Amino acid sequence: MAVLKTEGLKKYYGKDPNTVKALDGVDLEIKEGEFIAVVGTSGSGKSTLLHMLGGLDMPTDGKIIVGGKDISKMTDEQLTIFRRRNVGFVFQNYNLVPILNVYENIVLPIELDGNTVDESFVESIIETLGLSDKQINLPNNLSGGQQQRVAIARALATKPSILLADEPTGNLDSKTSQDVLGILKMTSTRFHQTIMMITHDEQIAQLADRVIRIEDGKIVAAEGR
Amino acid sequence: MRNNNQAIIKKVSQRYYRANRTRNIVLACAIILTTVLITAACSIFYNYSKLSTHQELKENGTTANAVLSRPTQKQIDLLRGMDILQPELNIQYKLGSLIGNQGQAGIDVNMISATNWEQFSLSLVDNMQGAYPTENNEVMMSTWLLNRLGISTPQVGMGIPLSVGINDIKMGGGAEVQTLSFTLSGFYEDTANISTENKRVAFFSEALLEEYPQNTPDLVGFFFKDISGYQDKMEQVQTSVVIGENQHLIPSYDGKLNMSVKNFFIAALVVLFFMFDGYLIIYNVAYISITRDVRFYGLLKTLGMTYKQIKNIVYRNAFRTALFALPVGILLGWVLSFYVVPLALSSFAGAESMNTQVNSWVLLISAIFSLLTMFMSYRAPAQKAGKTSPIEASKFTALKNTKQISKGRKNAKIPYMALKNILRNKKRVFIVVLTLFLGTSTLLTLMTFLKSFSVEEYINAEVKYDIAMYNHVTRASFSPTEEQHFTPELMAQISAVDGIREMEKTTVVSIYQHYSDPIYSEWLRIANEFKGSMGEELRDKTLYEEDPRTNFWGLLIGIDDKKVEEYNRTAETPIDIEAFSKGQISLVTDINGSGIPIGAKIPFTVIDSEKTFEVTVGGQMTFARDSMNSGAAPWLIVSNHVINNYHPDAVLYSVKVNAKIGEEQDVLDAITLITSSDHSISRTSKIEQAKAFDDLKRSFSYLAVVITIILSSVGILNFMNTMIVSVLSRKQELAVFAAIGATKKQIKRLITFEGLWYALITFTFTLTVGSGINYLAFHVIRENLGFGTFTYPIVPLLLYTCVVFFLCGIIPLLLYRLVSRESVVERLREVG
Repeated sequence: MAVLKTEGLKKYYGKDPNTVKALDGVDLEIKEGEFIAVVGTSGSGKSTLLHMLGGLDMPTDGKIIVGGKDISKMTDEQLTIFRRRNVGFVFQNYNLVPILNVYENIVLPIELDGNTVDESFVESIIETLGLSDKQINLPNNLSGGQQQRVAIARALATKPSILLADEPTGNLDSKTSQDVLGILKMTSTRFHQTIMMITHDEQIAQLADRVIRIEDGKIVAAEGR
Repeated sequence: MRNNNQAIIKKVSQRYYRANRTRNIVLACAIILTTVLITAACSIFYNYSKLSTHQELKENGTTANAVLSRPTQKQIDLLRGMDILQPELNIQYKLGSLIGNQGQAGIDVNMISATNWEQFSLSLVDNMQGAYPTENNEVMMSTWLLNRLGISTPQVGMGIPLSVGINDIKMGGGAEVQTLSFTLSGFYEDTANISTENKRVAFFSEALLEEYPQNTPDLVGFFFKDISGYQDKMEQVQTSVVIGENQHLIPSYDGKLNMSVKNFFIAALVVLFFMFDGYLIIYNVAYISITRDVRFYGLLKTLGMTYKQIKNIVYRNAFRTALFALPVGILLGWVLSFYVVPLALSSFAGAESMNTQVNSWVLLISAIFSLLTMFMSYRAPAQKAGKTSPIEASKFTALKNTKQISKGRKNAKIPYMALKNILRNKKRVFIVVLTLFLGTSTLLTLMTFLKSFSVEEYINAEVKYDIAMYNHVTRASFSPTEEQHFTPELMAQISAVDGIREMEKTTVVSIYQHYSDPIYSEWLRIANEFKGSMGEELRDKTLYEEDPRTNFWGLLIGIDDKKVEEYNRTAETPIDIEAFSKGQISLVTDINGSGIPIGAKIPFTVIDSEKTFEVTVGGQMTFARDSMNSGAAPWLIVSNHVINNYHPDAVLYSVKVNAKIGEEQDVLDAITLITSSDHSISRTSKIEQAKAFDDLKRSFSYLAVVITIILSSVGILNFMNTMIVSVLSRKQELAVFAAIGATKKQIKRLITFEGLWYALITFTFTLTVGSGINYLAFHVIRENLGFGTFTYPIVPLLLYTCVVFFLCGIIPLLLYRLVSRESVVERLREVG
């Protein structure tokens, strides 16, 4: 079953004749539990695609259907709520809230939704990501790899339909990168979590179930393993 | 090493200045507010000194820099010739005295002919009408004196017959009294604090002086051309004119404003308080701006700029803002002075007739204080900018958090997060809260004063009777030749007024006593002990023994029996009222009668009649002085029933009246009508005093509002600036917040809570620390005033709290709007 589907997704910036076609008719379908890597050069439109799928940006044309709902028709408020219930984000520069400790950062999206925290689920994430002994640490007391693990945990905490990772290893050395990728891969398997990861690194992309290649706003190739 | 690159520093600093518009505006506002406060405070104290100097000069009656008594013609010529002096001299001749005019009883009035009166004295009187006499039949005097002489509505040019004794002093009082007709050439109001000799002067022309030539002038007053070096110039005059034995060269006005040490201390404290408030906000603005630009300074350092040069740039920027803000602040402060100075000085005598003046020196001093405040505020931030290390700067994030762990599990809730957010920089919170606190605490204190010292309490503490009437002449000076102004006809009229509940009379007779050790030695010991403790000259009984009429006079006071009854109600040793009423005993007072043995027989002589009597002291009672003049001898109190036995028609000093409840105004109106024809009767009333006190309070409440508004503006501005920076520097953080699912509403809530925390912390401090300070301040004032009930200004504080909470909540929201115009994606991308 498709968790996420786009139809003729377009995002144009600016006006003629200076229109920049960041996305120019993307049709995409992602199945539940899939781990997909999107690769492309800088400026190819991969980040724009991710922002669209995450509801951070509105498409110029086309549909985005997540869990059966067309998010391209939602208001700003609806989008935000959709986002915190259905999408988990992992950023290149972690973006943890500096005043909150590891545990609090992880449960922040749940708190924002006004829900009670599913302690056992959160505990299992924390344990899986190896953060058990870091729970009361503040972000500035963690290494880059540890911070990214917290970010992944935060993204998983709300049991999202899809986890979107934007160059999650961009700021990490190769050993730690392997480590973080391993975790992503493992969560994909263990929590049956759909993951879409953006990267410009071919080698990293090979870890995914499927690699989508994007150039000039168009999908040029999709290859499964 | 040579390091001259002023040109580039100028250029960089100019560019940098232009790039920081918001900061410049906030800084300008901060400087303007500080300068307005300092300027207004300086103006108030300047005008206060001017007022008190002016009042002092009024008591002297002249603005002359110095006065020489009994000058010879040669000395006058010498003075005229001195080039350090102005050529115009104030030569005063005493022509004689007014003698025996209607209403003059009890006061001596000197006839003076003066030169250049306008230059020397005009500025010390109010509402001058007409001019100084020029013709030999012209006269000028104060409205007070005219009133005494029975002229309540004087007109320039009206005829006034005066009975005068020319040269009466020279002739030892034996001058021929003649009645001359004069024309009133001018009159004026004398508003000196205390009644002085100057009121008791009638001025005449030089033409009259020529008719009745005098040998020597009474005095000559003069001005220096230039007041600086006053002491040296006085010595120069002293050596030039050769002062004779009976002469005095009296220094008078040295051009300086007088201010007591206490007042100077208060002034310094107030200015320092305002400077401190200004310091806090300017420091915070500077510190925030430098923290934000630390990368820029690091870059400059990397590119080879020195510590000094960077400091230079920071200062240049600040002074550039001041260049515009300081004059604006001074100007606004100057304008505001004309509103606040009259309010602040409304309680001082002579203030009604004073024109608020703010001279350029006051403005200059205010400017210096403001610049000093700015310089001090900028010192530490400029040093910090100068010391920036290039490496640290490049890694710098404004929101460093040195804490390693945090134990909570519940802080992901919005109110907690808001608190944690503002506490990221505790020093900044402290400074912002402190500036807000200064505003709220000032409001709290001022409002407490206005509430605690109520009109009712003032009236109850200070005014015992609804209406009190005094024989004004007796009040001014006791003289054996007092006139009875509360005549039997008048008393009958007063008694007939409807609505009077009770009436109390006090009579006085001037007497002198005969000193003897058995009666007075203990009394003298106690009196001298008190004098000694006050550092005053001790009394010597031989003076009393030699000339008791002059040196040992006092008052025989008649009171109503009711007053003794009243005293007995609370007295430890009650007084035998029957014996008192029948004149078998007299009483001494607690004011000046301690030590007189009970049972002593005191002989005394009535000054008027030289008849001697004897009374037995039967006790001592508390007695209010009520402005009575004392004399050296202890006062003796007898019943009003018997006082006429000692002196027929004893002068009524005061008549006090209480009205029936609700009829106070009617009684006041009736009594005002009855007594208005006799200017020798003065009147005070609860209603009038309450109104005066109310007016005074109103003035102070306006002043309080102005001060509170300005101080609060400083606090709010500081808060606003801090919030602007806080929101801007967390732009990306807030975007992440939005990305992981915080709605706009939630982010607004977070930021609103941050603002509200500032307000909450401020009010926690205000309610605790502020209330404590407030309570202490109340007690200090209460000690001085002698009345007042501590009343916490709940309603004003509540209203003010609402306003501050509202502002602290709404300002961050408005600021967030500026940031949230960009989309989340744009904001996320900004910092890469």
